[in-house]
Amino acid sequence: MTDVGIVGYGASIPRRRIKVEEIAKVWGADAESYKKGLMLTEKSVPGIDQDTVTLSVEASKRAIKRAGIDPVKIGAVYIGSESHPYAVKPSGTIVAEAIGAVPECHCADFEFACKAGSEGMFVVYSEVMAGTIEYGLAIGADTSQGAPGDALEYSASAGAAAFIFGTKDICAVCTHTYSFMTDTPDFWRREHQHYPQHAGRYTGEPAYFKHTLGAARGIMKLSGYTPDDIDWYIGHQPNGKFPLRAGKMLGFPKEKLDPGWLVPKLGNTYSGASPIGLTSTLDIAQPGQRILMVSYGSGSGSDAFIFEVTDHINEIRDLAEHTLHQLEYKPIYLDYGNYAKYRRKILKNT
Amino acid sequence: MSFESVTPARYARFMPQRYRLEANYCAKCDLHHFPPRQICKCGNKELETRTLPDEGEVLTYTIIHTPGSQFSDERPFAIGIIELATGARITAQIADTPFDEIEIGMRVKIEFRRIQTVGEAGVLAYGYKVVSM
Ligand SMILES: [Zn+2]
Repeated sequence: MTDVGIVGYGASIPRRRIKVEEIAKVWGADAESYKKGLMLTEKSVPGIDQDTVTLSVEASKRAIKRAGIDPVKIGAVYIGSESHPYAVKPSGTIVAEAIGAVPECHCADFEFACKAGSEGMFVVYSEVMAGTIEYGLAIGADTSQGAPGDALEYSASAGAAAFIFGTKDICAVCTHTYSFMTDTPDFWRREHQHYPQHAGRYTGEPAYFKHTLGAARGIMKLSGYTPDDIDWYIGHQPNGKFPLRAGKMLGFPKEKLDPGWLVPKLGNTYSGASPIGLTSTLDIAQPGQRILMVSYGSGSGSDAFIFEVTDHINEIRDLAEHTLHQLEYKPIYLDYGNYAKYRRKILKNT
Repeated sequence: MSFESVTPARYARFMPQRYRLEANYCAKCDLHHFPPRQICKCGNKELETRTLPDEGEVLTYTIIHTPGSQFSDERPFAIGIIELATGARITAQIADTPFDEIEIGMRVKIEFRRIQTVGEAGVLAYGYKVVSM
């Protein structure tokens, strides 16, 4: 069987940030307890001119630079997000047009809460494997919002990751995939509601942990690998604590999580979370190493992938900005007033 | 470049230049035309479509304090003239960059951004801005 894997990857993180203290101050909340409870100190905020589409384009341009391919050869573009800019009109067409992948291209927007990005990866992997396309682009991106004052407001952030799958010049071969899902009402947003509802504590054990651990254990059984055979683990990151605890329960020491554990300064990028963690892990991974990525989307389900890094990684990783560099490069800190304006939380006369 | 009267048909017509920075290039004069034009000033009609590089240099800039109402949420902001390739100069907002860091000669790169939203229900207009690097 032909190897199929990642031939190019890239992330996009906005430069604006807001600190937990700044949000807590407005709502009279205790910043320290949020910082400790969520294990995060700040989060990314999109500019007024940034959305899921613009972040997706920037992440995709980096993926194309690393892949070194003519974007016309990309036969599928899938964006997973829960913050598509239009209610009706695909995001993927705008991205495909902007990168020059049109018109011979299959395109769809995916939704499955925070798992939408890995869904796209799953589908392009399968299409390349089936030989129906030469290259496929999968993106996980969000500019999510929590209701003002809600715990989610401290974590909901913005970012995107893009992956091009193909069969030539692979930097990480996808050796196994596995999915685990059940119907679980832990998080939802009804039509015409601005902000999502969540089921408090119910989002933990029966939701995040059951599906993340189910998928991770399932793929390890399928592959025959133990945590000792896997060099890096990336889980979904709704806060700092959940992925650390899941990693520990699976038997991964924290060092194996560190490169992809970005949530303390990035926040929860929803559909972008585990995919962005995968990009920052690829930025440092060595040939021969194995990476386990497990996404999680409320509703609920997890997609798991095992990648084996090739020698080619050394030739392409520096062709575009590293993910950690974007996270650390000259952040612009906002006060709550500007944050509220940027996130269009202020009601104006139109 | 105003999106003041953004109709879907007009918006779509400008996508190659606003989304992908497609210019026309005259090999005889070694000159890029942006926005693209059909005939070079030398009379050459055999122009080649070329995508401009995504990095360039600020030639000059100014700070806008009183923009049109469709851009009022973003004020104040910087607008610059940026040279991307021989002959190809674009006018673009210099985003995400504190004003005291902007200077003539500064290297910038192109980023895809939302340029304008037409009311609450109209089309979302995307295009390019530049950011410091
Ligand atoms: Zn000429």
